[in-house]
Amino acid sequence: MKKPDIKEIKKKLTEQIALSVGEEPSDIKSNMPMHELGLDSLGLVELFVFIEKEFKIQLMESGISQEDIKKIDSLAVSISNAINN
Amino acid sequence: MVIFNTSKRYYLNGIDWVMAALDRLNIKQTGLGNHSQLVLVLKGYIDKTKLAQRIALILSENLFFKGSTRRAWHLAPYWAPEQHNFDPKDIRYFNLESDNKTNIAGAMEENLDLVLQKCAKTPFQDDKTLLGFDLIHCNDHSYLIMRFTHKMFDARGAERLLEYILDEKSPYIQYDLPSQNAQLNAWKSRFLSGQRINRFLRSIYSKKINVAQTFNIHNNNETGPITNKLGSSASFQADKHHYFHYYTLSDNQTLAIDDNAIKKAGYLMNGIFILSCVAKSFDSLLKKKKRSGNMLIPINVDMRKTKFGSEKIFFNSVSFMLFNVKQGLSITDYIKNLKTQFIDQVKNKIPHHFINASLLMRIMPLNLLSWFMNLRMKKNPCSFSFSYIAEQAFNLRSVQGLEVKNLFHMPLVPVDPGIGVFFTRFNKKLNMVISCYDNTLSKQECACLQENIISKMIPGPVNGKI
Repeated sequence: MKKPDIKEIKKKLTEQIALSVGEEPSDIKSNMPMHELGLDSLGLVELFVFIEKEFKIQLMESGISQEDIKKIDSLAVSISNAINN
Repeated sequence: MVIFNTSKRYYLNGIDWVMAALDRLNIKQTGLGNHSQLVLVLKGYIDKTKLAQRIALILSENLFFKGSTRRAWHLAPYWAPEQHNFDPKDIRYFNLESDNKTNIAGAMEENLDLVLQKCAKTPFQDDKTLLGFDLIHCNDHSYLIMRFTHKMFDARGAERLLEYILDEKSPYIQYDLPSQNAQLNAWKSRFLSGQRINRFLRSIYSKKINVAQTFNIHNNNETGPITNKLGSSASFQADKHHYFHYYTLSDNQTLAIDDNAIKKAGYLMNGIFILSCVAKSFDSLLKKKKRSGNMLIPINVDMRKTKFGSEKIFFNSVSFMLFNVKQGLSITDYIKNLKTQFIDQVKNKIPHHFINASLLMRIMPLNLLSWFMNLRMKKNPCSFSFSYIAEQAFNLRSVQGLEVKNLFHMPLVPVDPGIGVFFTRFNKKLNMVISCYDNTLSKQECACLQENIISKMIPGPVNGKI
């Protein structure tokens, strides 16, 4: 199966966050901190659950740092690294 | 006047039905329903006539104000709204300025507190009324109070309703009550959710639970029985025995809490951090009372999207989570433990299963459901209630040209557990309210608890400024 590239990961993350905060995906900026996008703790954990299911990785156990999860850009890089390792 | 077709059916969801049963239970036990009040603080004195006219206009031309629950032929309960011409005179007005011309500011604040507490404990006109309004003028500020019943509104829905009522800039649109589906399908999924919730509750109640209450509220016969509109007799007057401690943290204090939350609990885990501080404070309190056992904490979770439209004002969009923690842990261990439980419950979709399973409860008539809930809450007690609303739903900057300074909630807490600690954020400030009956904590203990929680959230120099 073809591994998703960063662009594809970002797209999926954007769609999921848009769904969680009630915005259009086009209004979600990938370089904005998650809290400014309107994500809360419940939304964040739901996002993690989505990532684990969608990309088949154990994100919470992968030693991901707080900085990595703050923005879609950095989170997408971490996911990509986890998929490829 | 607009004539509405009130025969349309607005079906209730399971949580609405549970809230209606809780309301009935509370009225039976205390004379007051399961209601709360919003306090909107404005800088300066708002024109009370203009305000009353605005509220009367919106309430008379919409179906927010009155209604009752009924059942359809297939037993699904629905909301039957009633058209009502709201009388501006129904808004109570308190001018504390004129009463206190010769008094010092401290006395004025004390009076303000008394009036706020009194307003929060005012029953509704009748069982059909959903809202009540009061206005206080005090110390160059206006305090607009909107009391609301949880039968139809949750905390964020009520904030949004207040914005809808006060927003004179937006074009006047007739509000359409959202119609919910009767949800009489997918029974298998509802039963499976019920099974999941039962298993979850059995696991969470497997250890002895410590409660703050010192005696059974129903055995308190200090006051004579009162009769409420439902015709039942209550042996307890909430008006005399229920009180609130509220506190608004400054911008700097809130910022310090946010920093601590990130450092200690992680990104976006402010709620878990604050809950850990509250749990640790209760731990000290219960230790002083020489109680042992685990703490059981029910939590309300808002299931709306962060940004929601006015169509989500009506009906309850909340669910629940339950946390069971040991006493005697350090803050770090409380954070670790609560975070693990939080992640597990989100992973296992516990809030979703609560909503789904609660639809089954609609088969029971309200009286039977409130009796059943009372039985369940006595058998499986909770230590204290908690909620943290991170995102405000009221976003007006000014009302009638007066700057909005704050918005906080004063919710009555159900008889069981009899105490709750509630946090909301408004314009970068954290508001904290402890709501309790005097069979749980004395006023002094409550004040100590408040100080203790704040000192745990902001250890160090910032705390000294309180």
